[in-house]
Amino acid sequence: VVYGHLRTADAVSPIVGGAVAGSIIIAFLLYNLLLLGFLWYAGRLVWRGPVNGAPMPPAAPSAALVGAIGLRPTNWSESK
Amino acid sequence: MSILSNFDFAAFFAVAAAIVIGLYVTLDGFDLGVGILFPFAPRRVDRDVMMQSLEPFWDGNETWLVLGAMVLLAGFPLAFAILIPAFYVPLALMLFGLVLRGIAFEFRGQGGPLEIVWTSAFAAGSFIAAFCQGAILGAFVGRQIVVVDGVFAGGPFDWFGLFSVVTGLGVVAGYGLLGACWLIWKTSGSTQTFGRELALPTLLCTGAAMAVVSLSTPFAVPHIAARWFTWPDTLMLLPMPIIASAAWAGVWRVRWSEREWAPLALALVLFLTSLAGLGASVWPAAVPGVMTIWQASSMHRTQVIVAGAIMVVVPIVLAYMTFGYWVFRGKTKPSPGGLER
Repeated sequence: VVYGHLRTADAVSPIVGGAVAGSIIIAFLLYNLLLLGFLWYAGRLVWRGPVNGAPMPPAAPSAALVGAIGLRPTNWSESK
Repeated sequence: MSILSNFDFAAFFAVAAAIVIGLYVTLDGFDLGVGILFPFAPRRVDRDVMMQSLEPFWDGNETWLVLGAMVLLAGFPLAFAILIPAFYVPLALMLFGLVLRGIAFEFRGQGGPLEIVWTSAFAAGSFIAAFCQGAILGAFVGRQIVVVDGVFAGGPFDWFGLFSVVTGLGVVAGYGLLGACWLIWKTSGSTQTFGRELALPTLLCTGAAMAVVSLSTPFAVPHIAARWFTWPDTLMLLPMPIIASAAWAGVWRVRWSEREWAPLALALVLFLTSLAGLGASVWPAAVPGVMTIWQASSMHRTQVIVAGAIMVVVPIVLAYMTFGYWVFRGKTKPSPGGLER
């Protein structure tokens, strides 16, 4: 654990293995349950879809954005 | 020689740990307490308001738990190495409880059919965390920790016993009292009335637990009896139980008062004097009956660095937290998010 001074085996806490195993199992189960909870709410959010009346993101770059960058869609063929 | 070479760092760290842990107990106390009262709230709307009243504060309050553990680790590594294995089981359970109630803050507000699950998780997590803290405290003060050659040599359930169960339930009741007083201060209408009603039963349970613990520890632990009943010392220590009793009676009197901050203020006084009394019982042991704070201390250079860090970090944390409490001062306003379910 501390290089040149202490080996990991010499630094282990005097805890009964069963207690550690128990806490790891509880942690594993708990975090998986929480993952299920997350998937439940995330899935519900996706399933319901966007809220009616909320602005939809534009499907194509808007004219204003294209103009701001300085691109003209028609220029592609002429530049060659 | 530096001027610091004669400074009693062990005492400094003991006081710092007491302050940080005291801040944790009082601050997270009220928010765990609101969780403990959750199942008794009359309606869903009240539970919504109760949770909203905590939303800006609860995770900030837990900062002090982390800081407290770090102060103990850096200041008293030898005691830390004994206490953490000795209390492994209740500490692990406490953290699981805190995880449950933390996640409940996020998920419960989403509504839907699973809301009852997160309502229960919030209450259960708060109860478990509070009970484990109290049980650890009881085991630390009242039960002998088995140590051989500076290493914990007991079993994983040595902490469990009648005394630690009583202190565990006592802390649950005490946090419930702080939670009820918090609701009196921060909410209005039916939720506030609920807080006022619950202040009495939690106050009675807290008082009973404190009386049992205060009267039984001197008999169970001889050196605590010696600490409290040696004549001139008794006079010095006497103000603590007197102030605690006065604060207890005060909460009883003001729980229906118009001064809505008064019950919480008095409950905090009750908590802080109890903690101070506890500290006076344990001082100067780092692991009671095993080692003192001086025997458990880290090396001088570590002490200097960590003490410096504490002097810088604690005021900063205190400042931003005070600012947070100031920003969210006044009664909890119902958030519009609560309406959309």
